[in-house]
Amino acid sequence: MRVLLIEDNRRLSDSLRITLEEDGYAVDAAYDGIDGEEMGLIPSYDIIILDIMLPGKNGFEVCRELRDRRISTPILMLTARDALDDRVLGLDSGADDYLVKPFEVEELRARIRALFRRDSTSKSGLLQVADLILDPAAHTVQRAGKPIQLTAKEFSLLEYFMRHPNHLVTREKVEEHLWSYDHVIASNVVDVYVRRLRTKIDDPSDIKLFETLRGAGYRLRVPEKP
Amino acid sequence: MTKKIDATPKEHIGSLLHSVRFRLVLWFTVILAIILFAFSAFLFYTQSRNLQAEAVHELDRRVTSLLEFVQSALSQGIGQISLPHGLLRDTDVFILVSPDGQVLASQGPIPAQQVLQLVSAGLQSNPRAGEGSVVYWTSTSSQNYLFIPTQVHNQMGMDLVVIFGGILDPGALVNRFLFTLIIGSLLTLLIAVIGGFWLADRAMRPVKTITQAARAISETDLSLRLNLKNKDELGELANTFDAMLARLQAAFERQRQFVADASHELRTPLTIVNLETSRALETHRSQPEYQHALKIIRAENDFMTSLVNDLLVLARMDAGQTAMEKNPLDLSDLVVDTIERLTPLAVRNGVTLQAGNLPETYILGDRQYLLQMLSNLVENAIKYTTGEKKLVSAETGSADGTTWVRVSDTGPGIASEDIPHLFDRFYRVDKARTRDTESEDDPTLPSGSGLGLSIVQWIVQAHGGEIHLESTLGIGSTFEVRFKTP
Repeated sequence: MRVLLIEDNRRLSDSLRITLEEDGYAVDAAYDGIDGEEMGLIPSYDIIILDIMLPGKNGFEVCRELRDRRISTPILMLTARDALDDRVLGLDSGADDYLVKPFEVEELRARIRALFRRDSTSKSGLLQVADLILDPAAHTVQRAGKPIQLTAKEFSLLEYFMRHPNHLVTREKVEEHLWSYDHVIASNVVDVYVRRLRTKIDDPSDIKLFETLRGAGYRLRVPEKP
Repeated sequence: MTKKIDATPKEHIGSLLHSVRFRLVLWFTVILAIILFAFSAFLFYTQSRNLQAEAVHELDRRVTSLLEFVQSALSQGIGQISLPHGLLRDTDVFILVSPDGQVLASQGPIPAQQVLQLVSAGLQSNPRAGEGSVVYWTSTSSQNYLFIPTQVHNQMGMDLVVIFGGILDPGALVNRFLFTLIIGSLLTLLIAVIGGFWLADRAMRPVKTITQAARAISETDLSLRLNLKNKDELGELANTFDAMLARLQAAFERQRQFVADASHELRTPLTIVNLETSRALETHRSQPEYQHALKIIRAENDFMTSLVNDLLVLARMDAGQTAMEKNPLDLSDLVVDTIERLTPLAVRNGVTLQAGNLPETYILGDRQYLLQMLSNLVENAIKYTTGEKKLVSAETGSADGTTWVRVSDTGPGIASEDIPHLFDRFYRVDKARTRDTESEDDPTLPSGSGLGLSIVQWIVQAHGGEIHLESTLGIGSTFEVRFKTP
């Protein structure tokens, strides 16, 4: 999952970025409203974390502009003021949620998960394809009741596949959503990760979920119910 | 039934007795009563005199008609004069005396001899008495008689004296007049009291409005205004009151804004500390990672410490609790001191801190505060200096009765729209316009609280000085503080 972080306080931005990266998100940071808006127009992001007090252009303006330009990426606003006006203005300008500073890391994580969940049909937050279950909150994966250990990156990749079951997932898409601009990745790194996932998930089971579409990409196939 | 705290009738009367309304009416009534009394007394005095004269005049007229009759009777030689009925009243006295003192005719309730004695005694006691004199006498039944002796002639040329006496009684009229006066005065006073209460009530109504409004205004809601449209004294009072409320509201608003800003400033460092500690504690980390987290936490802590210190300084300044000393101080000495103290900070930021011309210049001031002012200015300059050769310099001098200190930097300069707000609390120049966002801040160095220049301004003003700023975008800024040379 790729996150755009628009926050002018560089130290807060760094702290947030490192925290989110350790959770397996790919994070790009912008330090003012103008850069932030420009980057927000790129559709690769799965979530935008937006501070209100920004130099250049404030968070409300950025949010409104992005929504006007038909960007439907979920936006989580960070406010330093808990005045009702600010929260209402934030939500009215198109934000999906807000978080008042100072916040707990756990709350931030929960809100981000909630925003991802908003688009999915399962409101419990659990992602399930056949007997494969992924819990984004607990960061756990199990197949047929057996827990599977994954690295942060593997987990993110699996989460991406499971959020888009039966869809063609190209290498470019994976790169866009899983890696930030700061990481230059080797061309076959996606293949390497998919191979690892197959080893851990498909190998112990009779039902193979991952499909390779030659020349195009991969697909997580939901098996037909007998 | 709910118990209502109601004033007992006794308390009600008590509060009424103490009200301005009551006192106004009381004073008004007392003054009016005095005026009425004086006026009535004057009126009574003059009017009773008039009535007396009127009564005398009345008697005179009757004497004249009587004399006409007597004269005509005498000239016809009638010896015995009998007055027709109607010419004399029952109380009237008529006596005709011959020249030798013999009573020729007598009529009336008083014996002739007594009248003669009274008249002669009366005329003798009044040395100026003569022809046409009159004699007053009060009878035992307290009736005021007036005797008028007049000489007449009979056909033989004999001088006869006619004494006419009548009751001179303006008393009844006067009494009636007095009665009228008293009743009139009392009625006037009654009307005055009622009217006075009505007037006082009307006049005091705005006061009641003001009282009610003032009661409704609480500390938390100062937005209420009296909005009295009257153009009189009370309207003026209400306007003054409104103006005071507006000032209070502005002061409270400033205070609220200040607290909101202060808490807002604390939120970001608290978030960073929270994030760093959570991250460090979640799993096992390497030594350098722990150190990095701790350094960040320390930097945020330093930031919050300096913020809280600055807030305290400002709060104390606002409360007027600061005692400024006025000692003669060498300004250049203070500058050297500041430069020495801040050189390590300058070195860490890669800034050259330079002392310019520093001639000995004395001003009157408080060493502690002036040092804080200088270090705030120099720190500010160090923080915002950018460019190829980062240079901050400080110099002093004096000219035309002013002593100045200048702190210059080679920073990005300050945009003209920022200059008026530069000394506002928590005002920070928009970094997007003036600062290269790509230049990486060292996360372990504390940043400014946004209060430094506010404190500088306060200290300068407390010393009766002025602060001037010259800034050119892309070249740098110079802060100049001017004091009066003692």
